[in-house]
Amino acid sequence: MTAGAEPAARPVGAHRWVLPAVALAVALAVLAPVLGRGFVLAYDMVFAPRHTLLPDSLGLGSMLPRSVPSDAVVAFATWLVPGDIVQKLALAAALFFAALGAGRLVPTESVGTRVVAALAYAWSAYVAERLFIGHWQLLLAYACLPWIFRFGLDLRQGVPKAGARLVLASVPAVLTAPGGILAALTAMAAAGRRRLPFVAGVMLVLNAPWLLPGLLHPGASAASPDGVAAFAARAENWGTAVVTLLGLGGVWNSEVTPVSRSNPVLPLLTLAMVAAALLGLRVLAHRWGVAPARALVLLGAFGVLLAALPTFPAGTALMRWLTEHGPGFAVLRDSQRWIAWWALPLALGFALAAEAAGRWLTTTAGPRLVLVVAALFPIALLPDLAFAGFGRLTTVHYPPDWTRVREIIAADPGPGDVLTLPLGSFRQFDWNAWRTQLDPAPRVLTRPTVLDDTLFVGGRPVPGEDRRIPELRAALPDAAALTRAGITWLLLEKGTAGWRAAPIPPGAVTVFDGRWLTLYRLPGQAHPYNPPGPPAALILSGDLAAIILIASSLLWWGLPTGKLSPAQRTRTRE
Amino acid sequence: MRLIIGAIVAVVGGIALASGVTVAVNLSSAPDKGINIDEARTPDPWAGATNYGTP
Repeated sequence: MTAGAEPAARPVGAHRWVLPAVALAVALAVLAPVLGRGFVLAYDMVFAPRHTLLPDSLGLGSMLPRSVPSDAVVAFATWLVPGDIVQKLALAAALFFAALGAGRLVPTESVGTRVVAALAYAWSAYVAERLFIGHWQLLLAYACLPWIFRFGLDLRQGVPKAGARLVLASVPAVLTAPGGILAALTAMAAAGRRRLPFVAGVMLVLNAPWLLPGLLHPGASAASPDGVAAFAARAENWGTAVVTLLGLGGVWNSEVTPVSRSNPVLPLLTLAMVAAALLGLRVLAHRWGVAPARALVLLGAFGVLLAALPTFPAGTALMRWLTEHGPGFAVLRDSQRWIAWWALPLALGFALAAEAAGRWLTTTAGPRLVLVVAALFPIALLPDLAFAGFGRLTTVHYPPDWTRVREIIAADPGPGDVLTLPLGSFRQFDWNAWRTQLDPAPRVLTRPTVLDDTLFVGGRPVPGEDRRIPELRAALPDAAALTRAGITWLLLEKGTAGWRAAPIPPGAVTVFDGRWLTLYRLPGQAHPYNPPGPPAALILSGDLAAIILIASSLLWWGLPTGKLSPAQRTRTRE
Repeated sequence: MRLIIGAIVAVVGGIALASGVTVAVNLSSAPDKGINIDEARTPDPWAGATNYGTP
């Protein structure tokens, strides 16, 4: 049997709506409490009513391009639609398409099997933990993986337009570096050795918007190796870190781990699920052919290996060395995110094992009963993903102070950036129920905003990478030194813990003083800040190349090209 | 063989469902509904930097 033959056997009639309905139900069950107006602000997830396109959005500023090109894309999106709606659309799309994609990828004619795969993939610890820590871009990438694998299989078979579909399915994944890496290796594994040069080339161009600024940024090799241990995957119960990872959990931050992950029977249930999945992968190999199934399993195994690496002493040493000596290796530090590669073989194998087990039971209700139990299994293991983590996430509105400060700064025609106080990246505000959240100022304000990117993890500092910060920290008591360093505004965020580090410089004029924010303007004219960095022309060329690739893929996909050739028409029917 | 498969599905599924229901009931009856926030805390504005998380 050939790759891609079985996935084409789609359900007909009313059955074709079952899988989309389940995917929609998953999205609603998780996000219903936060679908109203307002922003979900938790850990790294920050959206503002309207983002401004700034040099940092494209990787041209002083900060490492962690949210490139995601910030630029959100800036364009919020020109059209308010930021809170963009946020909800992104989250809902991630959950819906993750479930739908996994369900459609599994090679079966049974709708029940598709539903099992959809739930095993979308109702997972990975989704819960990355949602609670606010990695919405990673969730989008996770949702893309089944689609990327499917179109990669099509490309392996020579299905017309598969290349264009592969590019388009990868677009939401490449909003940040980790998602881009997940997408690229998935595409290469699915498409096979013969298509490797084409897929590698396409993925290189598609990832250029973050890859170029990431590699060429002066701070690319400045990542602290201390982060390797701090951000390593962790055991969430008496099972080891490896068993936790096999169950798709193990995010480094215990504060975002669902309570159900400490369930004492969880390691045993995880091992039962993995054993079932391994049996089911034999069915997958039979239906897809050995080569594509082996590629999927090897990709999953690589994900487990990479995720588990820093949980072993030798692995920690290796990762520390790579982080210290290789530019860009800091992306490997938060190791649990690579377990996304394991999620696909786990979900597909588990679903096919349930289908096979059902066939052994010759009673009429037997197969259906097994599929129902298997479908409920992931939900039973993780009930606290529902209802936005039982109230863990909620929507809030920015206090009016933020709008006022944005307006004041936007109205000022002079040069100069904003420095936020207290020095630090994360905040806890009363108006957001003291949730830990990234400082929203860089997304809310209309000009480059500098924040101290030193992270405190478990009370210990992990040095940041913004080379501008040490200079500004030293300059802080002196208004003249700050303006020489390109700062015009100081934004004091009140009611949140943090170090002010020094008094407000004498001579700073209070321009706005509200309940939550005080805005100071420094005397004198700020010197324009020209960060040392890669040539803007090179980075913008990378952006342009990616845009051209996406646009031409869209055209190739939309135009009737490829349907006119008799040879290709015949191959499509095969 | 059928009996073994049926028994495995029943036992593993039963344990999973029972533990899931226990966790869900426990969460919905907990006073803080699972929110990992100490509502009673009043932060001193200059006490120290915000912790990003705890490994």
